[in-house]
Amino acid sequence: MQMSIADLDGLEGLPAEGLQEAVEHYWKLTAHIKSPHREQIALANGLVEIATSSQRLGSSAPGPIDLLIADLCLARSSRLLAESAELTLQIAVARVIEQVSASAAAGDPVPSIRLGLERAIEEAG
Amino acid sequence: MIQSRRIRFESGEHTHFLDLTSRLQGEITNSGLRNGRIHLQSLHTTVGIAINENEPLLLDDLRALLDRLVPIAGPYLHDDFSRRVGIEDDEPVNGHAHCRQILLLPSLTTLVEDGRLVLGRWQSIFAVELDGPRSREIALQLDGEFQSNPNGHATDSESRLIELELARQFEIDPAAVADPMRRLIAAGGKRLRPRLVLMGSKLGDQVGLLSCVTLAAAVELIHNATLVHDDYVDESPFRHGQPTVAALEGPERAIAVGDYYFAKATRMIAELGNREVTKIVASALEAICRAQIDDLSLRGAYPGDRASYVRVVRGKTAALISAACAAGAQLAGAPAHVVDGLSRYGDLMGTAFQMADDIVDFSPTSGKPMGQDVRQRALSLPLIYATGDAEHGQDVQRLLAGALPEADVAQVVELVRTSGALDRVQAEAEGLAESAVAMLDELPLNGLRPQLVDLATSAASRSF
Repeated sequence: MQMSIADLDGLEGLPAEGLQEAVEHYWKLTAHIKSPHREQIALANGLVEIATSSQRLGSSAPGPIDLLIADLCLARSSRLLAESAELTLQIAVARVIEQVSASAAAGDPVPSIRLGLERAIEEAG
Repeated sequence: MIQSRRIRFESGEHTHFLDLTSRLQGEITNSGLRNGRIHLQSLHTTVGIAINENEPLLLDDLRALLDRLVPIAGPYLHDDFSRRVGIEDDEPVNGHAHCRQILLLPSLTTLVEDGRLVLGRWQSIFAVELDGPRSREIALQLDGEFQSNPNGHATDSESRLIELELARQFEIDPAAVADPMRRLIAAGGKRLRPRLVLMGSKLGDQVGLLSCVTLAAAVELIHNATLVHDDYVDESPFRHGQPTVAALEGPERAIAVGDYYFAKATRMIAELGNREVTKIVASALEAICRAQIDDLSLRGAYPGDRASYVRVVRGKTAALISAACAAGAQLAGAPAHVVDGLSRYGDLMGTAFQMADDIVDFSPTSGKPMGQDVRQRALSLPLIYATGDAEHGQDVQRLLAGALPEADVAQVVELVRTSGALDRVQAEAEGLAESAVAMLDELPLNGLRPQLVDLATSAASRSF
């Protein structure tokens, strides 16, 4: 799959390989979604994974610029899902981030974001 | 202070006495008006206003009186369409209704004391339909002393609903994220964005108040989530006089708290089921994040330029204010031109708000620590103008390029104050507020104009 340059605008500082791998993972996982916006949905999930990884949730805090780029990933993901995904998936993805961040805040073991997103995609149908 | 509103009703009969007393009392309660007056004005030539007793047989007597004084049968010249010009195809035969209305009041002022309408035991306030059944509208103005909270902001039942909704969400949330966010929100804030959501939501009628309150609370959570991350990035020790989440709980927890409420607020909005609203808020969130990156990368890049400053401010501050206005209206099903107009109003007002906030950094009487923008080498407009000042600009630039011990920070603050930069920024903020008000001219605002004008004016002076 080809990621749109416009969808990556401002995110040039991200590790390209990691994002590409994540997006391809979600591209395969969303094969059942009959939507002309499947690329955006896969990218949105990939961005959530990269963002939470960059923020090192449950570990030491990243530097300011890394945090802000990660925030932009989450915001971009939110917009892409709002534009292209069904409501159920938008809600399910948000719940995964809530679960991961709440665990990190509590000092509990942080659940795998990828597993959470995989489950969200599966459950959202 | 004056608040303006409209109340709408459907009359059910040709001559219908509609008792508005409880609705008016509700408007007074919602507004927070404690002592003053409520002014009512019929917006129709065949609807009058009256104060009398709501006793069914008496109302029959009053109908009979109107029949005797002004019989429906007429004749009335107004109903002779052969002699009138420019009449519509559906022009009603209603000369009697106009003549009856002249016997009643077109407007009425009633006193309000201690939050209650001042009425005698048997008095009720009626809208008197004289040519029904029809959809009708009464304009209201509430004028006087409004209840204030300790911060001096107007409170009303809608504001309380927002606070209750925020408190309810914190009860649901895990303590590890809820406690820091609850403390932050309790420490202060003007609730400007949720207020704008609720104002916007009054410009349509397709959604209930509770959905609007949910949206308002979600927007406030997003705002505060951005502050939590912002305070970490800026290494700010205090906000609203209290330790920041990052300072008190550590940066790791602050990042998680911010993430949680970004996600949660996004979900709350998605669950409202209006994709356009979700897109409006998500786009604003994206604009904020982009502007924060921009802001950080521009730190210390003096002399800087106004265009870069405005670009950052429109994203960092104005985007969510604009989205609050637009999302409320969109959720309520307001027409597209109203949503767009309010969005533009919010953009201009939000930019003015940030300019005025930048001035506060140089004010010894604001109650906030001075010189924070100087310490962070932020590209604020007063610093941009001061570095370009013919007399002081070089000194300001030299100091900003140095190590900036506290003595130098104080010197920069003083140079900015004497350079005339603050007056320039204030003038620009006021100009933007005027432009924001001008955006309202063509919009049907259901009586909200005075409040929106007041907010824009206050934004430029930071006098909320």
